[in-house]
Amino acid sequence: MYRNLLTILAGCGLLLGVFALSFQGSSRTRADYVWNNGTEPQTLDPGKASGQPEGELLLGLFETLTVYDPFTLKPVQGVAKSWESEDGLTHTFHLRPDAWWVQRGEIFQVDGKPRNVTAHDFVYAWQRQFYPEVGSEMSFLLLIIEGTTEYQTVLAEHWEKVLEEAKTRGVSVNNLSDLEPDYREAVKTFRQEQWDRLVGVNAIDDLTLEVTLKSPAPFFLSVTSFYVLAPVCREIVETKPDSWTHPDHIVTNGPYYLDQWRYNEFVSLKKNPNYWETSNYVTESLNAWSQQEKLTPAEERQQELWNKLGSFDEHGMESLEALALENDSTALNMYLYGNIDRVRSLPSELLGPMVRAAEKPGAHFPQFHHGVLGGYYYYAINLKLPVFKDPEHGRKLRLALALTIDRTSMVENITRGGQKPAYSIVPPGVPGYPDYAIFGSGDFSKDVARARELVEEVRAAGVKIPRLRILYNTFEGHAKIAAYIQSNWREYLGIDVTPTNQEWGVYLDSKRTSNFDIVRAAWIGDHEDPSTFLDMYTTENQNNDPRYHNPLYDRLILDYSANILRALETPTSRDAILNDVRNWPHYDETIARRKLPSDDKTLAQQFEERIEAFAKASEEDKLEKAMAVRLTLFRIAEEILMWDMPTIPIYFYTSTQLWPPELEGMAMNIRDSHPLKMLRWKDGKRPTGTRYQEMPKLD
Amino acid sequence: MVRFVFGRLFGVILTVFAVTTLSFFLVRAAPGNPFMNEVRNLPEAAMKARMREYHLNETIWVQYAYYLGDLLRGDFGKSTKYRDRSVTEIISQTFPVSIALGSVAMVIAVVLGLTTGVVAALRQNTLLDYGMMTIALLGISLPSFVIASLLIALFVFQLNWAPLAGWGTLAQIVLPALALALPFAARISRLSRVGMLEVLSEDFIRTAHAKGLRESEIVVKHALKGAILPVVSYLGPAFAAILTGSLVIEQIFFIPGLGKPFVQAAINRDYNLVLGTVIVFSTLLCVFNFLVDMCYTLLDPRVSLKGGGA
Repeated sequence: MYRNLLTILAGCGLLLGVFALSFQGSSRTRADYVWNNGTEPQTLDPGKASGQPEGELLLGLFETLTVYDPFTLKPVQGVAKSWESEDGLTHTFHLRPDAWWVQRGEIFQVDGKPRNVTAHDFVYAWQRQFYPEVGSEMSFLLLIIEGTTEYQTVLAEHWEKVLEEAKTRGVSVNNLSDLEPDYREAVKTFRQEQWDRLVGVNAIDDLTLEVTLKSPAPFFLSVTSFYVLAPVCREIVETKPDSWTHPDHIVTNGPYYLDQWRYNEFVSLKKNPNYWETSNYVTESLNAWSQQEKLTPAEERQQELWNKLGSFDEHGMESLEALALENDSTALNMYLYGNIDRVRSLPSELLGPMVRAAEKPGAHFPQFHHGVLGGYYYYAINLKLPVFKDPEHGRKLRLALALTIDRTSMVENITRGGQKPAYSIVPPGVPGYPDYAIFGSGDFSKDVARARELVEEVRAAGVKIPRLRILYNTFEGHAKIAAYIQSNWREYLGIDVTPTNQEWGVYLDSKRTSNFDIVRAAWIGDHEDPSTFLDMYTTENQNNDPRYHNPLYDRLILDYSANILRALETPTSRDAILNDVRNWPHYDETIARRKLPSDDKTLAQQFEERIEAFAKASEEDKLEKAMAVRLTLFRIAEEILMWDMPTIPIYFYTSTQLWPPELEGMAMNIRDSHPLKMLRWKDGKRPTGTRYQEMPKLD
Repeated sequence: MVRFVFGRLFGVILTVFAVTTLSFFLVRAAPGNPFMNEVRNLPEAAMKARMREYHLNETIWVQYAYYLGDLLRGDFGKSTKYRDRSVTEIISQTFPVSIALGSVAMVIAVVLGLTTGVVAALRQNTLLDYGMMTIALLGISLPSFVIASLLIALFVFQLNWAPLAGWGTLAQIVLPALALALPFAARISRLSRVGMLEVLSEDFIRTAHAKGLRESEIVVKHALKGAILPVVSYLGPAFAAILTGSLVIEQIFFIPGLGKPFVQAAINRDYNLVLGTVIVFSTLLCVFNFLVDMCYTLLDPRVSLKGGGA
């Protein structure tokens, strides 16, 4: 009668049996380079992706026309071997003939023939960004290309019609592949015809791609390095529309191919043996360049990179693994134990001590990397709210609130990650753009005094300031910031606010539907150009959280800057811009008075001088001068925006990461973009063992 | 017996169906939709396409009909956040991990819990009893991230006996399974101690002592039943909880189980993934309760199998 004991044993035995059946051991060997990629990538389809974790992987899997140099973020060779543009409008890219599509590392065959990457693949991939059924979030990046806006509209309307007709036939359609063959072909033909008719992207031949922009965009070659503009292989995308990104199907052209992809665990990549960057190729190119008298800037950078890093096939990492690791403490521990080779975000409680340890005089902390990111944290104000709506008192109140945040003390004591206090929208590090405070004097007590005056004026006018609500998504970091700002406003202005948190989805919904008084938000730019930060405050923009509406601002951004050559074309059009800006009621208080830090001029003077310089410039200098005017226009727009203060900038993001000094080809940059093909271990050897003994003492 | 089993199975199906239906409407009643972004709001055309792709442009009843239709064909639909993956794929990759971790944790919990509970009962009111019950109380009250951190500090940082995190080798299971098991072991320990004490004071035990049976024989043959019965009824919900409640453990030990998608899906408003995980877990809970009832009849002849219903 040992029934009881037997039952227990049988139960445990059963459980262990269940374990044996369900447990899949894995004997994967450690990859050459393992990093915590933050979270599970949502997709590996360049037409659908939009986030950072996806971007980092996609730049390894797919190769764009140009590739970022991680140190300068300037373009170097990608699928395009060279490129040129005479007028800044039409860009011609010359593609290499030996860029192959690969599947599991083998060259992909179509009709028994090896398939190389052609200009048509780029045309298809860029077209696909506008296919309504793909639903790209990033297609706006292509809107700088001639005719794309029209193309987008035409395609959306056409697709609606196709769906309606399909419905009458009783066909339910999600993807193009759901349509009957005849209709499908008709849609494809229509899309291609419209593209040819409208859009300034032409495959001249298999290896020549010509792109015409709406207006010269100095950041275009930065965009062509972005994963959104990566080519895709039509044959696989169309035959497996729902599953083409699976490791067994995916066809890629990058330096790495997809080996395994386990949900919430890891994505592993292997070196593509058919990638073009061989040591022979590199040696030949370097030899040819040494004979050449003058190199293009891109060639110079490429030469420098190759001299520094060597060729990919000889020196690049053999295998990579991106972990979907969300817990920062676990990531740090794994780094210290040598399980991973890079930590991309540190636990918030260690951020402060680490920054301090690294900044200590005489500190030796070569693993520590800290830099500004192209993004900012802000509080958007609901301009529909009666107290903020009034053009005079509403603005004064908004400005007073913006002035009364002790940002320096906040980044030192609250956020503690080495963030930079923000007194403007465009972050530091945008080439050619002056970075300094637009509002605020740099002295907090002065700012408070001014803010008090403003609030007194508002109160004297009989405006009652209601108890406002600061909305943020439930997260300790946001709560601390809100509490700090609450105490600032109460102490210095006597204005009471209530910090309110909402669950993520509820918060997003409130933000989207303007159901807030003041809401916490963040923005990360897409490239290094002021437009990526200032566009969003134009009236119709989807991301205009405060619903800011200023026709002059819209004109500056959408009419003048975005079509700068046309806007500056004739003396009349130039005068029109000048007068438009001068007629702004606050011109004398701001633009005419604002001294620029670079020289002794005011913003108004710089603006006039630059327009004049353009007018006088020779044909070949016109483009450069126009670009200078464009930057000043952005600066004026930002001045106007900060005068109106629909949104309160709080700090610029920074990133703090750890990687060992032996890791080469890796650099902090404001895009936080790290092309995988550039990574090397010093002398080809990955350091083994633990790393905690190399860490400095933290206080 | 057969009628009972079928009755109960029918009950399971009914319950799961009801839970699914309720969840279907609840998750759609939550503010927001699955395609909201923090930084960049989706362009209108893209939003429209997404809504259409997941039938979210239809009325809620049509959506429900679509969902049930897919479900009957065994299709849980596509994840709205992880757009390259079907819910079935996500569950089939993560669920075995949770089961493997959960079953080891369960064995640890039962063995540890029962032994300590029984020993404490036998040595009632001794230092051993107090010591064990204090530890058990700690095990119940300490949150799992504290237990996990303590285990890591001890077994990884100090002793270097176990790997830090990850999934794939047997050694990597030990710490997370232990961290997961301890709170449950603590509860089982307390349950079995109380049950055991109750039995030990009964007449038939005294009779057994009087007959001159050895202590070990009395415990194993007669008294143990008293310790097991309350534990058995706890095992059903406990196993379901061990499988679902492992979000924190999964995060700390970097384990790709089902606990994280279960929680994260609700936050992301990933409608299909929410329903998929709800169906899996509600089925589990019902099935375990059913199995527990079956075990009862094996252990306790006073319980008979009559009737149906869940």
